[in-house]
Amino acid sequence: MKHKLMLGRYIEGYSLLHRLDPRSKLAGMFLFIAAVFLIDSYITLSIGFAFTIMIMILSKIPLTYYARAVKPLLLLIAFITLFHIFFHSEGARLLKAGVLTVYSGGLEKGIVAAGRMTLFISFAAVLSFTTQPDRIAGALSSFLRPLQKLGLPVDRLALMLSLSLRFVPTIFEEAERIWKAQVSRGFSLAGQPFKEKARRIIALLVPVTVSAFRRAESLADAMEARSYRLGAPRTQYRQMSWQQIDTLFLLSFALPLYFISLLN
Amino acid sequence: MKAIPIRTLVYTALCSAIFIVFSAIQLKFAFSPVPITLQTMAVIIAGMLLKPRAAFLSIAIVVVLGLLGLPVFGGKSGIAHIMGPTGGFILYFPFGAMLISLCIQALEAKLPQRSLKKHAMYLLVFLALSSWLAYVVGVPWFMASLGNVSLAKALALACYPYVTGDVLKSVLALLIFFALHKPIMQLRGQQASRRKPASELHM
Repeated sequence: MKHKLMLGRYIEGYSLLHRLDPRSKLAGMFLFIAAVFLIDSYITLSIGFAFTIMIMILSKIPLTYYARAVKPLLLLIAFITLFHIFFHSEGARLLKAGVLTVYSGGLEKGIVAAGRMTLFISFAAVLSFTTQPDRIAGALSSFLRPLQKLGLPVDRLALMLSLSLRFVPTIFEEAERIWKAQVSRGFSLAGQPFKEKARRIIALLVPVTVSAFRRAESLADAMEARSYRLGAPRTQYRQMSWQQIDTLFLLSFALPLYFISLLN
Repeated sequence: MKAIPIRTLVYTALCSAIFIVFSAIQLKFAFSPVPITLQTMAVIIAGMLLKPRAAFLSIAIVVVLGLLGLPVFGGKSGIAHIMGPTGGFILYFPFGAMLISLCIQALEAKLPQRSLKKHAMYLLVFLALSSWLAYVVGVPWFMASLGNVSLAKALALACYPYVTGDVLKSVLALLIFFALHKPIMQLRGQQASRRKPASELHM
């Protein structure tokens, strides 16, 4: 099981980014996404990269961690890049290779598309490396609160988010335990015909799912036993505090937005 | 009656977590160069075990978490996935779960529960169709994301290689549903019996 991959990407640290309010980081990410969507040339792409690398350095997390975050999507990035290179016919022709032809416009589009994808991944990694998942959920709930007036049940959604995040490591541990129990009884997926493999997958998935549902029942009972009622007014144990540094951090995103817009 | 929303809410969160866990599991078969993930199977399970609105919410929560940068799609950064050419398929998942749930509701309303297995073929056909419905959203998204792509090209790249896998996943999900249905109904039955009013217990 890739237990480490799942929501366990938070890296303990005391950098400036770690200490920021999660809401400022989340808002910063939204602004960053808007900026990246405006990127459409080499110049604007380099501005995006310069800003992102600066943020990465501020997080005091080694760049190899970010490279590792990009790695699972390299195939997708390569696919997008090659697609643009070979199927766009704008600008000067650079290369003729049989049926395929490379133009400067297509090459730029391909590299820019790859760059944008990489920027998305990198900045998302900054957020998940420097912010605990439950704090991200808290920040999201905070942003959704104005929608309560539109009838959206924000409190329930916030609770669902928290419960969902809490369930994930538990289910992983349970799946790993059941997997090992099955393997100790001779379970193996290697070299089996499809029908047998399907039967064995079911033998693995059914106990995991039933166990998870049993746990959900217990949790619901425990919540009721602790006097939880949906819709009742409640206080918040975990508080978020906005500092001046959060404002400055958010304002810094105006710079790339401004320059990228200017150069388009 | 107020107890019911809490339970529904917990189940919804649980199915979100199951989706995240299943997204991390990949299986390789000899006949397919593309590894098959259990991601869509989790969507089907959520649709089968939850009511339509809860099924939609359980998968929508994961999509939102992915948009926020959490690696909920098999360890990959979700935002790049959703913004990329395959994002349309991911955005379809909440609606797919809701459709499956609506179909289950319709079938259970018409049929006694014990005869559900007799209509497994109808269920299977619908599951496969709802899987294929993802391409109605995913393929145009694929075309728009890459730009300057013909429909035939998009279908060849994003649709045809995966159709067989979807059918197989539907079969697997159906078998899991039948295996799960009884124990989970038993679980709910136990809880329901325990919540009888005190007056009934003394009759």
